[in-house]
This record gives sequence, C-alpha cells and structure tokens, in this order.
Amino acid sequence: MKQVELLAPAGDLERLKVTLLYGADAVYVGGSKLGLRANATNFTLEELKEGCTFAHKLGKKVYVTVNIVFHEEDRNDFEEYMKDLVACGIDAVIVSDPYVVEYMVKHYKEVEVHLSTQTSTLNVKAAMFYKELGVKRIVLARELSKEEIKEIIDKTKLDIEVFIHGAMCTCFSGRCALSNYVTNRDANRGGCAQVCRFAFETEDEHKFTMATKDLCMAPFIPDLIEIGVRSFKIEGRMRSLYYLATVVSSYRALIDAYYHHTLDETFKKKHIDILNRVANREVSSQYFFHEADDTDQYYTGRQEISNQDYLGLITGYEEEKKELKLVERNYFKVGDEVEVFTPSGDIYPITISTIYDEDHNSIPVARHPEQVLFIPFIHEVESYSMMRLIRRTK
Amino acid sequence: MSKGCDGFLFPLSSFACDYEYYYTLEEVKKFKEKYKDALCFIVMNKLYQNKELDSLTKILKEINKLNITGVLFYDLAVLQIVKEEKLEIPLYWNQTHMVTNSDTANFYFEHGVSGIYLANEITLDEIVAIKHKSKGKVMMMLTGYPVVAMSKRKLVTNYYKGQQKEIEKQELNIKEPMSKQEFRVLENKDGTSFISSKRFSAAHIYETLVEEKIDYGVLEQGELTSDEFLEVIHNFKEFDKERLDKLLGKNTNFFYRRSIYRVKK
Repeated sequence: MKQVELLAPAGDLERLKVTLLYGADAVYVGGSKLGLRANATNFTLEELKEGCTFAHKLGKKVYVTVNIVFHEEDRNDFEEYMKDLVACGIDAVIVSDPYVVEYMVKHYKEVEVHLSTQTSTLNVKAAMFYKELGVKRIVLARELSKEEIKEIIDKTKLDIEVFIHGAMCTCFSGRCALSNYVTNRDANRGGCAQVCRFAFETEDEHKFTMATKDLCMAPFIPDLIEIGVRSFKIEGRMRSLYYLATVVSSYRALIDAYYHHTLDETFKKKHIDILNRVANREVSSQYFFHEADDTDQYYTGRQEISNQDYLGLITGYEEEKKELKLVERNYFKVGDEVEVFTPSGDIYPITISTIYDEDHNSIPVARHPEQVLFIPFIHEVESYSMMRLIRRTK
Repeated sequence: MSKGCDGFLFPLSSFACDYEYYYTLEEVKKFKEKYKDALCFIVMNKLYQNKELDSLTKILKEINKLNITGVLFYDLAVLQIVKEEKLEIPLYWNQTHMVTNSDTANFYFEHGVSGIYLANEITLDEIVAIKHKSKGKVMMMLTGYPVVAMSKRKLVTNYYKGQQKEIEKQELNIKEPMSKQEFRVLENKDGTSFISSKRFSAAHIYETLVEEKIDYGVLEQGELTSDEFLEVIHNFKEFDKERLDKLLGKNTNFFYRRSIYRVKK
C-alpha cells in the first residue's frame, strides 16, 4: 500500500533540512522568481541544488513553485530559469499556468508537473482538462468537501494533494485582487498583503471582517487517507523553524500511527494539543464537512497569538558532562516543565533542574534570546532537536 | 443599439457570478430573435462544483444550438465539456484577474478558444503587447466597476451573524480605512463578490485601443441612467473624450500603474 505523502513548506535551506529531518516526505520551496511568496526568503539555485542533494540522500523530494500568474515581462527569461531549476535536480514544479504545464510536459519529461491550488480546481471536468494536458498531480481548491474530493479522486485517478494545515484564503485562490486595489501589491504575483485580514469600515458602527480561522485536519487523517488523497500539504513557506518542526513531527506521528493501527483517541488528542499550542490562530476543518460559515472566521480584525513555547534549538551534546547545548529562543527558568523533541520523533519530558550560561555559571533564569546555554540531560539527541515549554513553575 | 452598441453580454443565471443582474437562457433566446445581427455573449464565469456538471453540460448543449457570438468562461470544465461533447461554441477565456499575458492566451487559442477577456489589473503597455502577440480576439472593459475578489463564503450573512442580527440585505458597502478604497460586497447563493466602488474609464487610452484594433470593448451601465448610458455609448462611438470624462470620471485604474511584487534579494 502506497502511503500518503507528507509535504511541508521550506522558506530556506535550513528549514528544508529541518522539515525533512522531522518527517516530511517532500518539501516545496520557492526559487528566486516566479513563485507566489515574493516576501519569503526563497532559494538561490546553489541552495536549491544543495537542498535537492540533501533530500535525495534521504529518499525524499523537492518541489519548486513556479505558480505566479504571468505578465508579459515575466516570460523574459522563463525558459532559462526553468532549465536552471531542472538542472538543480528538482522532482516537480508546482504551476498554475496551463502554458507552463504544456511547456514543462513537452521539454522536461523527467520532472513532474503539479497543478497549484492557485487554479482553484473544484471539479472532475476541470481536473480532466489538466490530466489530459499532462499534469501528474493537482493541489485541489481549499473549498471542497470530503465527498467532492473523493469524487475527483475516483473519477480522474489523478494524484490528489490537499492542504491539511495552516492559513486559509478567504476568497478563491487566483480570484482575489484585493491586495492589488488596496496596497498596489499584486496578489497573483507573490505580493499578497493579506488584505482579507484587515478590518473594513461599514456604514454602521460595526467593522466588516472576513479573516478565516486556520485549517487543521489532524483529527481527520484517517478520513483523508481512506478517500485516497495522495499528498498532505502543510501551508507556510514563511513559518518558523519551530513551527515547522512541531507541525511536521505531529502529522508524521499521526500518519505513521494510522498505518501501524495505533491511532487511538488518546494519541490523536496528544498531537492535536501540541498543534494547538503552536498555532497562532484558532482552527477548523473549514469546508471538509460543511460549507464554511460564520464559525470559521473572526469578527474582530486580526487575531494572532504570540507563541512563546519554543525555548531553544539544541545545537550539540556534551558527552562528558551529559549536557545539552542550546541556543535560547524564549524565556524559561529552573523548575519549568519542558519537553525535548527530536527529528526522529522522540519526546523527552524533563523538569529544568539547572541552567548554565556559556561560561558554565549556574543561572536561575534564561532571559536572553540567542544566548548559548547548557542543560543537564542524560540522552544524546540529534542536531535540530528542540526544547519546548509544557508548564511554567510558579 | 441605435446609439452604436454592437451587442450585449448576458450573465447567465446560475452559471455566472460577480454581476448584479442575471438572465435566463429564455431571455437570451428572446434577445437573439429580436436582434438577429447583434453580438450576443453569454457569461458563464462561475467555478462549478461536481454536482453542477450535469446541468452545465446540458445548458452548453442548449447554447450550442443558438449560434451565439461567444461564451465567456472561467472554469476549465467549460472548455473540457465543449471539447468532449464536440460543441461548436466560440469560447472566451475570462479568468478575471488571470488574463494577463499573450503566451497563455495563445495556449487557449491553440486549444480551441476564440477570444480572451483581459484582466482589469494590467497596464496599457501590457494590453498593447498582448494584442500584438495574441492569435485570437481580445475583449476588455472600457468602463465599469472592476470585480476585485470572489469568495465561496457567505460573508454578508456572516457579518450579520457576527452581530447576532438577521441579515438585512445581501449587500454591504465597505471601506478600507488606510487606502480609502471602497468596495461593494454582493452575496448570493454562490458566495460573495467584491466590486470596486470606483468606476474606471478607458477614455484616456481609447484612441490607442482603436489603433491597436482591440476587438471588443465592454461598457457597464452601473449607476448611470439609461439616457446617460446611451450617451456613453454614443460618445465612445463618436469619441468625445471630454464628454466621456464628464460622464465617467478620470480613473484610469491600472492602465498607467504597475503593481509591485518583487522577490527580496
């Protein structure tokens, strides 16, 4: 049985490595141009090549977004750019323009063409059009129900990818130019200013808001696998290392548990709790079980919670002293209950007994982000392991 | 028509979105009978769900018998059905904000499409370049209120529900306070459309458009009275820029304004 793919975003080379180490089967990244996240760090060709080599050594894949809506000027060095991308060793391009689909199918048979959600593919007939054009996979519109997704899978036999976690657009992807009109930033060329998260004035005293809650499909992993979805996509090429590590590792655990028949309610709840703690907005399943409605959005403008659970990135292990070396990210102190979690899925709960600074002075409180610290710990853990807060001591 | 209008666009009820008024196919047929020589375009620019595909196929087969000038489509299901059913309907690619370059236009022309309806968010230079390089007919809006976004969500309903109030009407006027941009928000059973409250006019570029042989220009009546609208038609035909400016204002939208998106270096 072919297992579902877990596909994660990566805004730069470090995040690419982390997401793959934490259990993603593939990553999607933006190149230096023609992607829909103009403000993400994005990859140079050299970084992309290194990323592909890293991924392929792990038996994993790299997809590159070339999903802008092209204007005349964007075609200028398009062919050269595609040639360069392919030469880096990428496994697929994610595109929205049928001209690009046809071009890639004709010139680069070794690279899969995935259709971006930017096309808002909602039905069997539209999917068939792209299948006949040579598209290997479609990232479906986020406005579909479980039954609709299943019908598309059953009738087209295409590889279908769906978003499972992260921010949602209020409007149909590709069918929104609010950013163009309000900020002069072109939403369909990577400049989206997220105007749908602004509060608008109306003719009465109430503000008009339409900001959506985020998507979280963690409770419904079996539903998605059983209807035949081929790839689970996590949103967020601009998300932090900690966010990605947490989200990827939880979904990895949920998917693996499903296939190992160990996905019970307790296990599910544990990971949903972890996902909830890293979330910066409330979540819902949006259109999966019913039309998105008034419960799937906010009414008071932007609703984002700053998350300070991420305490530090582990950068080494002092074998002799049995100490973790970490770079602090957020405040913590002696007595706090924390967890060290690793790319291979291990989770070690501990209570902080001692904190040492770089000169090995014992300190009661870690209050300086980026400070190098040492924590007594009996297990050696891999690079890119992280420490998060469970409960603060009073 | 006596003022120089060559034909009409009919947003088709249940198959179109982003318009204020919709027409049934029966109404379109009546128009065809009465104005045999007029151009008759049917707008079918919705994104369709699986459950709508049967009725979409059925209505396209009916339209196929009507000898209409063209069907404006957004969803590629329309193109696929026309192909599968071997229908002979001239299709116009009308993907609102996405009709922005000639290569993609030519892709569609090679796949049997007859024309394109340009996005309102492109510059005059881009319009000219697309027309030069495109192998099919080019249509664009000359005046009207540009569609800005479309959502499947019932956002006006949600607005009232958020206040625990019954919905008063399926329409709101909203303003973004920083930019002062205003929009009409129209909801129906298919979702919610955002329409700019600022009319734009191509009067300032009209001579160039004529020189470049843009095939079709679309005029939207909006708030204009019938008399004013007839005057607009007449003044585009006779090209009286001063009078058009007075009737339509001077908002040139994106004709001279490039949008920003650059990737950070």
